[in-house]
Amino acid sequence: MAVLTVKNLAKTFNLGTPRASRVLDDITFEVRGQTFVSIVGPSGCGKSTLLNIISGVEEHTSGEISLTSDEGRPARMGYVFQDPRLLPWRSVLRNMMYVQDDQGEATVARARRYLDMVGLAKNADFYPGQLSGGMQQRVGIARAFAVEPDLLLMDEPFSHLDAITARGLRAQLQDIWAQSKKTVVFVTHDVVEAVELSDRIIVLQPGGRIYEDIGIDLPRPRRQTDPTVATLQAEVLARLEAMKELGRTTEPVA
Amino acid sequence: MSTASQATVDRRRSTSEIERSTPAWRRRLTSDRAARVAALLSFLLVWVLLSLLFRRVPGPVEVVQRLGEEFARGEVFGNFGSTLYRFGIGVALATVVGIAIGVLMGLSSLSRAFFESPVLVALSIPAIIWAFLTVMWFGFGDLSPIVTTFLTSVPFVVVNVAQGVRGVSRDLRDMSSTYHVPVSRQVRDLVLPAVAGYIAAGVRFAIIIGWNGVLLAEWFGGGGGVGYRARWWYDANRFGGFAAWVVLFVGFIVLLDRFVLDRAIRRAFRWRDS
Amino acid sequence: MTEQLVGAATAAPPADRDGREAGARRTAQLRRWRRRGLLVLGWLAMLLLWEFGSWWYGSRLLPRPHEVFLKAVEIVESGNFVTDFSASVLKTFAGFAVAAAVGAPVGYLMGRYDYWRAFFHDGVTIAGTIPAIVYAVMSLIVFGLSNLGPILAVALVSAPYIALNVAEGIRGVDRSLVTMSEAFGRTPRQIRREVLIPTIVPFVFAAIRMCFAVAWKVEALTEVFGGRNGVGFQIRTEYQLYDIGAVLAWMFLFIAFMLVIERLVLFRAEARLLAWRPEERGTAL
Repeated sequence: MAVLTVKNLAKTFNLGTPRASRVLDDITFEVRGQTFVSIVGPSGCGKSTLLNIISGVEEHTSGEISLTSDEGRPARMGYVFQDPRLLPWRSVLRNMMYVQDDQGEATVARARRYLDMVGLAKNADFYPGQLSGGMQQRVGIARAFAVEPDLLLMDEPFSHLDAITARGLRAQLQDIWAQSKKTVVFVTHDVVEAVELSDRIIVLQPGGRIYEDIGIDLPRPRRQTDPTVATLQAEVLARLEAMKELGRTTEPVA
Repeated sequence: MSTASQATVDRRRSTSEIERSTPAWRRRLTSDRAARVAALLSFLLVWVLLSLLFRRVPGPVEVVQRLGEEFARGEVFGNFGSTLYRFGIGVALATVVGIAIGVLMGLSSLSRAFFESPVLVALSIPAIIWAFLTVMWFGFGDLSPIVTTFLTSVPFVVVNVAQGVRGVSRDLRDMSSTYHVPVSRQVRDLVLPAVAGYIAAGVRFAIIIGWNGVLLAEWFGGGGGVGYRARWWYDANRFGGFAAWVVLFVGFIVLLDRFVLDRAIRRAFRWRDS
Repeated sequence: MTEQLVGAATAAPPADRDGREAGARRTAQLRRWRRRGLLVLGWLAMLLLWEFGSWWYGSRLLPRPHEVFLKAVEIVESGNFVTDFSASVLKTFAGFAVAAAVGAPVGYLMGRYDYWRAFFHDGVTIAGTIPAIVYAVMSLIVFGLSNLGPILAVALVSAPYIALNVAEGIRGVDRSLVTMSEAFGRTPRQIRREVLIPTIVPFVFAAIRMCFAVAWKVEALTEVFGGRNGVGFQIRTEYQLYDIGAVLAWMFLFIAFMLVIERLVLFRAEARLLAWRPEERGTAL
């Protein structure tokens, strides 16, 4: 079981210069296997930076971060970005194979299986330019699942899509997650989306501190039409409104 | 696959810290100016090596000597004068004619159909053919280099100007006609600023291509000029003298390009690059 | 009010609409014919100008078009042209190969590192403005009368273009694809092969297409100055015999041949390598 531990993590851009700005401050949390965790907060609170640090694309300034996998091998990570980020000169399947270490038959079969799960089995040999934006994003999701990651990071993957496509993809994501039970860290600014998808929501406040850690205990699959989901969404939204007030009053201090 | 397995990092250095800790001499050695100096030195080194390797290639010292001699003999300014006269007339003609045809081609698709093939043919005829033909037609006077310059450079002006005029956005033209902007103001505020950059780029092309044309025509003609003088040294098997002239006419076109044309183009394209 | 408008729109008699469509088709067809007519007119005007020139200067100084055409047929029939053409084409492509081998790494360095950018920038831009005649004569001085001269001249002319375009391409690399690759733990070698190089291929092709037209002219020019075979050599020989008809015939054959090569070889290769681009796909399939 994969365990992600983040302890007293802080990140300051332009450290040691007059332009220094702290985007993450004293972040501590732990994620244990098979949980879907959302990180929610207003734009500019450091959500994406936190994700980049976890993935190793960016470096942190202080604190500890570790990811352990069960079998003692190095932990694997998958990443879904805001935009699809596919290589335009490679076919869909070759794009999925590009991020695989193992190029064998079994891996190809696995990639095809995930492609089938997002409903694109027929498009394996298409170039990304031949697909719509929503289809490209589905390829991006299939690609991330197909590396069989111990930890799957998602950075607002639906924010660039239209509302209807996004809703369809959220339902699809729930299904795939239910089948594969990966550990997911999902960044979004959309509380409604977070409640629909996650087991747990970590709320960041401006200045990059954890404001609240909320557990969501609702049966799956969840559908937006479900009144209990809607009630909970309203409740979490209300709490965030309260945080915004707080943010406004504490801003001069920060 | 992952990098973060069991990573416990207290504090990593940021990029600005790394920069501050590099010693000053290293920063100076990797600066742009140092790079340019290094490029110049390596160019000289390669030149010297080539002159040692190939007996026929003159070294830098010899070329500078020959250059001094040509100046002392008074061959430089007279020959440059007559070449610039021919070159100037040729390029000026090419600019005027090229802009006229280019604007026509840009504005009407019918005139584009008419001029398309002649421009294509003119683009593909090598300068050497024009040099041969004009020398036979006009003899060894000024006319042969002028016509060669004109004929080799005019298609480049036409192509560039036509492209610029066509690029004047249809929407903007439609907008102007809906607001009943008078034609004179349309030309002044819409067409000219949009096309000026393309004209400048076309003229720059014309100058670089035309310079080659004038040199070729003078090389095969006998009427003096820098091309003729360079050939004189070449025929005498004195490659040092030839190289001295190469330095002169390469230097001329480089200075013209850098200090006149490049600035003019940047000025004309200001609106696009900002 | 709205109902009325909708009614008016559907009530338009279909016959009238068909009639209007046919009218529009007719106008479009007329325009096409006018365009074609003007295209022919352009060629005719060129021929007329040429005929006038031959009448003015006499057919010894400027042979008439049909004389040049007959000369070209004669050259083709004699079969001589095959060896000269293939020699010229081979030298042009050899020069390209040298230019790509030198220009592409230089461009890569220029695109990746500020230091090398500053190092090469001035030299490359200056090399781009040097007149072709200088390259031709310099190559001749270095190699004398040999096949290496034209190859060097082509390489010298093309390398700066290729370097500049590759540098442009490298700097245009999509950073987000590089971060994606890093997030999935790809090695620098994989990133170079799968992200950087496919990005610069279109730029290299643009460079090759741009300088192909210049390159074969420089190749021919160098042969005029000192070749032992090739089209330029034939042009010089005929010029020394004052056979202008043959000079023009060789030139037109060469132009036609090079245009065919450009279409067949370069366009094909480009369409195949760039099949992933939406605008290329039509030609590739």
